[in-house]
Amino acid sequence: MLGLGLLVVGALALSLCVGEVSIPLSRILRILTSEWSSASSGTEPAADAVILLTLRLPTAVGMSLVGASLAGAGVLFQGLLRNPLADPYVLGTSGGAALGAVVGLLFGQWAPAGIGPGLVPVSAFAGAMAAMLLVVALATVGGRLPMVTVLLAGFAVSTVLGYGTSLLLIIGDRLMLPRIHAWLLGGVGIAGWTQVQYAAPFIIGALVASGAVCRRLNALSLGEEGAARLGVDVERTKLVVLVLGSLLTASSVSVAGMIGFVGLIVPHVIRLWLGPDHRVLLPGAVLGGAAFLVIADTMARVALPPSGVPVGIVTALFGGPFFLYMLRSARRDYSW
Amino acid sequence: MVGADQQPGLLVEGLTYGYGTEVVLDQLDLELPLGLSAAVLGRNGAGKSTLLNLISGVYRPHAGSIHFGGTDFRAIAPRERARLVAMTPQVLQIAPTFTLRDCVSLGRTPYLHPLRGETAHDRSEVDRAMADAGVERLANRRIGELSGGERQLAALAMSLAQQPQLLLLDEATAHLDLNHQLALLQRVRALQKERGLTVLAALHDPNLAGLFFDRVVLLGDRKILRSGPPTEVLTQPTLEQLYGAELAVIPHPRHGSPVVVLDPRS
Repeated sequence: MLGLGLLVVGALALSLCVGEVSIPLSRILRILTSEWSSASSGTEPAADAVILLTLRLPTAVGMSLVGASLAGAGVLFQGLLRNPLADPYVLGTSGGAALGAVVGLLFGQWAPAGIGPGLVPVSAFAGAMAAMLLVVALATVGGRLPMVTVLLAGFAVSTVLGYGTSLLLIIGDRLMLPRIHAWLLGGVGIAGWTQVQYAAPFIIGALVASGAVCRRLNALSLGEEGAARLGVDVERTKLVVLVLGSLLTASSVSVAGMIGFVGLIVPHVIRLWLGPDHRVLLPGAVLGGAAFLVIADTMARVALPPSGVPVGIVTALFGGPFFLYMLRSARRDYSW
Repeated sequence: MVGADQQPGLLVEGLTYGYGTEVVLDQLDLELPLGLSAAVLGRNGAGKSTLLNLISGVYRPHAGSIHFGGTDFRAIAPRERARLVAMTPQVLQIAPTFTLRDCVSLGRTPYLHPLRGETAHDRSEVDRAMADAGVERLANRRIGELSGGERQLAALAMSLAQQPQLLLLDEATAHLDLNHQLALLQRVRALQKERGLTVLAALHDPNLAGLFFDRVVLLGDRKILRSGPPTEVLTQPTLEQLYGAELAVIPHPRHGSPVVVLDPRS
């Protein structure tokens, strides 16, 4: 766990240093410590200080929050469904958040100044919750929520939402909004603190609250009936976990768009490494997800300069093979 | 009726449950005095597991009541019930990468505050439960590395970590070899005698009922057909009617308990 914490710090430092303009670590520390004094003295800030404070720092903080959030959501959904394929995408929450965010972006064009940027996270969360509630409503059979129907309903809903988003994209293209497409591939420049500020309290709050359901997720690894025999209120636990997972998904989608693989592979890698106890797995995956996405984002920014590539491409290209390698090297130990 | 010398144990009255339109248990009454053990026998699908799941709180009865030690289960929270009643399933389902100790620790769930960790008392109860089930030497092994018999003893240890007063066994010996059947039921019998545990077990093998249980309960036709000491209930005509099979009952050579064998007559 300490190693993972150090990895996050290292990844953040690397991400702040590396880019089109390299800034040495000593200079970064000086800029960060003198930020307040230079602001109050009214002197013109140096170019590298502007890059650091308005581009790299919000990007690094935003990416670490998004990575933590996606990995945390993956742990919650996989633990709840006892299914290694479960992640925010399978359940339709991610598709709902994306559709909501795209609607927010489209309408944000015509919204009065000042409301536009705030519209995206709000509509993303509304989309994620609506998708989640739709899946739950479709999957409920006789007052219970069997996990097989949840997976089937999630698959159906996310497919429909995906095509709905595609339709809006075509409309968006007609309106010449090329941003949307790139944003859907994940992580187009976080510019400034606005998006991060909106999402951070929700991400941190939901992750802290998730800590309280870890023991119930452990009990759920005995199956729903096994957990019920231990006195766990299974139906309420499912609802709490689904809401927390949706909140995490929507927050991360509203900051950085659709980034695949983090919610799927980070929990698996950490589980192979630290074991299946959610009290260890959740904090481990949160730190691991933060480090992984910050590193992936740094690589995405330095690839194909000057603009870089969307981070979702990097997470898929590197995350996929790495996951397969882990799975094969540990396959005798690893089954669900 | 509860005898004057016996404290009220498990008392099931008018219990009714079904799946969809099919009624599985209809107005079932059952009584088991505190500290005694009973084996529930019946054909496949007679509702043995359903009965245990209703008592353990996994299913909610459509009608009727369940009391234990004078406590009405309708009046207490699931957590409180899980401190009174534990159920060992037919097969332990859990991620195979859990260690046996982690798995047994889950039995402490009904005692733990969601935000606080296990106390020294919780850990000593887990140690004791593993010792009682005879699996302490396997504590750090992963569940996936254990044999079927060892897994079943791990499941028993998890139930014991709940510190129950009523232990339910759902076909807990169904998949075990003779060695592990004997080991598991002898341990349960010893705990019943030492700790005053009340035990209700669904069984397939009537011979185990004769050897290890104080009472035998025959479940059929959606209710209890007969209930009483093994020598009274495990008789040829009764069992032939229950199972619809040709059987003979002979005395056990050492213990004198009824031994049931197939007796095909054609």
